[in-house]
Amino acid sequence: MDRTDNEPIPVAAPTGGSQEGGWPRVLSGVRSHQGIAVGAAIVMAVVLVALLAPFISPYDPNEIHPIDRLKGIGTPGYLLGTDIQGRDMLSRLAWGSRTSLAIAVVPLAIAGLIGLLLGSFGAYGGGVSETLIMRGMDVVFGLPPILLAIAVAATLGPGLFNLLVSLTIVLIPPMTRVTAQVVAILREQTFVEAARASGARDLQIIFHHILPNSVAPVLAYATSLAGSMVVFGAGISFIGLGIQPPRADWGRMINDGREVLDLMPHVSTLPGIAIVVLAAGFNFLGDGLRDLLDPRMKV
Amino acid sequence: MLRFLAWRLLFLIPVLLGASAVVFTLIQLAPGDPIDVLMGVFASPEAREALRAKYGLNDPAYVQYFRWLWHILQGDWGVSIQQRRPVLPLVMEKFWITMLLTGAAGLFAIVVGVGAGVIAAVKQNSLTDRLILLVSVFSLSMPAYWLGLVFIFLFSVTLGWLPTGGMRSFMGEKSNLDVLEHMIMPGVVAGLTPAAIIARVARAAMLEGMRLDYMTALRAKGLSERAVILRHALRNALPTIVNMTGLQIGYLILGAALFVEIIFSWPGLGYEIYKSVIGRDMPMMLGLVLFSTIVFVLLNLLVDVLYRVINPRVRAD
Repeated sequence: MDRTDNEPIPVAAPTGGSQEGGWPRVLSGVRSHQGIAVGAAIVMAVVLVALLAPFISPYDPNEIHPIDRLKGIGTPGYLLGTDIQGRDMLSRLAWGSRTSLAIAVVPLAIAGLIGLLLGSFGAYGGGVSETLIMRGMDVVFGLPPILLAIAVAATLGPGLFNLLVSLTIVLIPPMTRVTAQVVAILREQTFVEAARASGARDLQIIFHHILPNSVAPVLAYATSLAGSMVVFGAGISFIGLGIQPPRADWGRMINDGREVLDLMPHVSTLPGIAIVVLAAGFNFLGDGLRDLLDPRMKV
Repeated sequence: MLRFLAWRLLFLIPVLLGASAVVFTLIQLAPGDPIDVLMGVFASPEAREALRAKYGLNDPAYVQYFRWLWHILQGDWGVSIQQRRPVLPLVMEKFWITMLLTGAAGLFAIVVGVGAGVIAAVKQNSLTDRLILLVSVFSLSMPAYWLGLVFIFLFSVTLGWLPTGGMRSFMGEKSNLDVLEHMIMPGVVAGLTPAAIIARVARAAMLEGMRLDYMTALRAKGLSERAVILRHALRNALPTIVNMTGLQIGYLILGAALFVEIIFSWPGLGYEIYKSVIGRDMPMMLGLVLFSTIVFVLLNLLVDVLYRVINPRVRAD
């Protein structure tokens, strides 16, 4: 979350023509960009684990084995050991990937959609509507994002749904702002002018020309935030808001292991490593996409 | 410059009003009826209604908002439920403790971040550059609340070099050196993410400047490489770096430091927010959020002004 907003948002230069140029160039770039390949591989691997969680997990993630509490890594029957309650770490890590992925993707997708609409209508119209929407966003921006999310989560109460809501609220302003920056460049482009000259109405222009061309840069920006969302979302659960026990969540698991840190450090360490790996995957992917879609950022 | 300052100060008003409205809305949304808390659930409907009227709870929301705002402006921020003390002085007290940690973390972030960024830029595409970029990506992906635990395990539990947490030792001398010792680990952990971001920004800004022709001219003039880099390239990259550093420090005080304070039991704003969340102490929590927001907004203003002062290109218009 540390770089959600205020960081001068790198905006991808629009790709010019409304039809070609964008995605084919991106696809050819993906093949040649190391960071994207590494990031995509990591994220895909975690997605695979999440999908296959029922098959990977030897046990139910919430199944308690009172006799086998705090087993170390490599204990027969428990590949990655067990936690304080004797729950299988491997199973909990596998199921926990689902919540982490949901936290990384769902709020960004919803906030991204809202931001695309608000930003494109606001910036395309210019004048009063732009001022109104952007200044409104500045007001929400006035609140430090991490605190806002925690305050909202604390008010709404614990639970995955409320966690997703609070993260979405925090993400709407940056997503709107980045869209508005992209659209402000797009609306001056010749192909938009051409569309207007040929008699297209504003709504048509927004939906046929502005929106399709803003998606790629906005998506790249969203991806660059996903890593921070993984870290931050798990952090909210770590402090006791967000995901509630017994549901498996990496942030919660770190907290569970705090009490036995000196005895059995693996209980906290493994979920921590999982978060770092997934977040790094998203960060590699986001950096790469940003490089690719924004020639100005390439150095 | 004056015009800009006046304009920015004017813009503070809607931002702070908006932020206070958000905080007020959260108070309203918070579960639980204050009347239940005051009278218990078994009070008669008439008595409840009387108390509602007395506290103005039947008034429209905007009336309640402005009444609340009036109290806030007068310094009446309510009373902490857990600590049974007025919120505002409590918050102020914690603020300075957080600032201490922020200072340590900020110092670490600036020294390491700018240093790594400059080195990476000078040695662009070398192994060192790639290594610095790689470390910065992992630093960004590292949850502070986890790294803190790892550090405690390594440096306190295993090696016994540093205290596990808190701000002062329970026993022994109460010196500043003692506080400093308690500050090292939280400072480094909280400073790591900002350091990574500053390093990336510094690298990009340096590269941008180093591509320009005047660099060649300076070298042709016979200036040493050291002088070219430090006195000219870095000087030109400075506005961008300062801007980002200021913003990062803002996040540090009001975000990242929160998790670090919890892990290391550092008794500042973040730890206090955590305690108020756990104890469902809403007046305290919202007071902390409101106060932090004011600091955040003022800090952003300061960064903007500073950016203009050190960047002649922006200062002109």
